[in-house]
Parts: sequence; C-alpha cells; structure tokens
Amino acid sequence: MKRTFTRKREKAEPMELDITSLLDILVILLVFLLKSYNATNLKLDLVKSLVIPDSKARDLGAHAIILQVDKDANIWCENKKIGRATDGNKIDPLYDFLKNKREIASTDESKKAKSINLVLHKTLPYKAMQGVMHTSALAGYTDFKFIVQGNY
Amino acid sequence: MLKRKKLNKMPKLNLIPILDAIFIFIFFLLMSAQFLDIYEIGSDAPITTTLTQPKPDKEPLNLTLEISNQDVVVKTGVDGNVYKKIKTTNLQALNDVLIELKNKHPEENSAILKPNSNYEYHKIVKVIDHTREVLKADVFVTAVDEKKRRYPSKVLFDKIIFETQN
Repeated sequence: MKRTFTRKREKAEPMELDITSLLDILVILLVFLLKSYNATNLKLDLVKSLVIPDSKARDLGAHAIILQVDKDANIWCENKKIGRATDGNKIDPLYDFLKNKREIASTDESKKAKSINLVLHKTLPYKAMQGVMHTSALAGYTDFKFIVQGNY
Repeated sequence: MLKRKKLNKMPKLNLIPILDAIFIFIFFLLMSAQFLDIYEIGSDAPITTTLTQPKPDKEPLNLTLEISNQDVVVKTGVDGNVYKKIKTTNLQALNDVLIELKNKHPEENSAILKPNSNYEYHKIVKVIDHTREVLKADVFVTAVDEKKRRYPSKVLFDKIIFETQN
C-alpha cells in the first residue's frame, strides 16, 4: 500500500525546465527585429546585380508599380525583363508595358495611379535614368519615387 | 515550524502567457522584416501649362542646378543667371548656398535638376540630399505656411524636378 502511494507522488511532480537562456535569445532577437522594423508597405525583391544608393531621405515608400534597372541598364518589372535603357529617348517595350498596365488597372482616367517606384542601380548614368523617366511620364506615370537605402 | 517554511517559499511566476505573446510578436516581426532599410525620394515630371493668371509681383526663383562631373552651377531667375558655382567634391557648400537662397525666398520649394548625361545616380542622390534639407544640426531656415506665417524649418527645396526631355 505504501509503495503505491510513493509512485503516485512521483508522477504528479511537474518537470522543471530552465528557460533563462531561451529568454535571453528571445530578448536579443526581439531587440534586433524591432530595430530593423520598417513600417513601409512597399515590399521589394531586388533583381541580381542591383545595388541601391544610400540617402539621408526618411520618407517611407508606398505601394506602387516597381521598375528596377540593374547595372547593365536592363529594365525589370515583376521579375520580367522588359527592355534596356541606353539613352534618354523613349523605350518602346517599356512604354507598351506601362501603358498596358495602366489600362488594366482602371478604366477611369482620374482613378489611375500616377506613382511609380524606380529602383535604380547606384552607378547608372543619368541618360539611362532619363530614358526610364521620360518613358514612364509618357505612359502616364508622372510621380516618380526613387527608392534609396537609409544611411545613419 | 511548518508555517515558517510556507512563508519562505517564493511564488513562481507563470511565464507561459508572456512567452506566447513574445513568440507571436517575433513571428509577426520576422514575417514583416525587410533587412534593407528603404525610403523614397519623390520627384515629379515637369508639366507645361499655359497660365491665365496675372503676372505675380515677385519674380519666381526658378532654382536650377546644372550638374557636371566637376561643378554644380546654381542658377536662378527666368533668364537662368548664374548665382554660384560649387565643386561637386564640396557639397556642403551647395547646402550653405541653398540655405541662403531659402532664407531669401521662403515661399519657394522646388528645384530643377539638370545633370550631365553620364553623371551617376548615387551622386545625383547626394546632390538631392543636399538640396532637400539643412544638414547642419543647429541651423534652421525660415519657412512659410498657408497663412503666410513664418516658422523655423529644416526643409529647403524638397520638390525635385528632373529635366526628362532631351
């Protein structure tokens, strides 16, 4: 009878875990994640060989169509290569793509978005930038947002 | 004796709910984390309109920055008079010139950029940074609100317009 009683007591004893180290890790992770938190609703998936420049700007980006231009001046949108920005002239494939995008978005001219996020490689010459901006403006995207990296 | 033993026993904190909350918080932060700290610089394409309004009393500043590999030429006025020429290696001097101009024309907020065709994008961004705001910590400029009230501000010429046409 006595033996049975002892066994029951052993089963009921809860196992004690030392969670101090786990808590330490969680706190460090939490601080790191809070520091790197950015409230922007703009999600960016950079193409290969594209480095964006540093800036002192602190305006948060907003969701809009994203055009990326890599270091070889190739233009990318939604992981598709659209064309190449060589000079300041109109880029026909880009114009057709943007015009098509704008028409799909809304039939009402006043409701159509004018903003375009331009993610350009840091060493891109102005003539290539000019071509992209000129074509975007012709397609109706006149509000350019240059995406940059924050430096502290 | 038994009573004393009970009193000395430390009460155990129930950490399970707080751990649950921290886990959910970490999961949310990990999902929304973007390890690239991104911001935007706004710029408008120039739009040409025919004005039917009467001519303003004060001539517009029409601030234009012509950027070449060596210099930034600051031009003002409709005729594009050269106001100052600054070396691209000393952009703080550009910031100082623009502070001077902003104090003279607090109602103006736009600058037209005309970079050289081979001028690199990251250098243009540097010029924009020095054009948009006062970079010295203890210096402020005069700004004017809609009711023409003056107040100290760090903002210089934050409306950047690029010359997009050839």
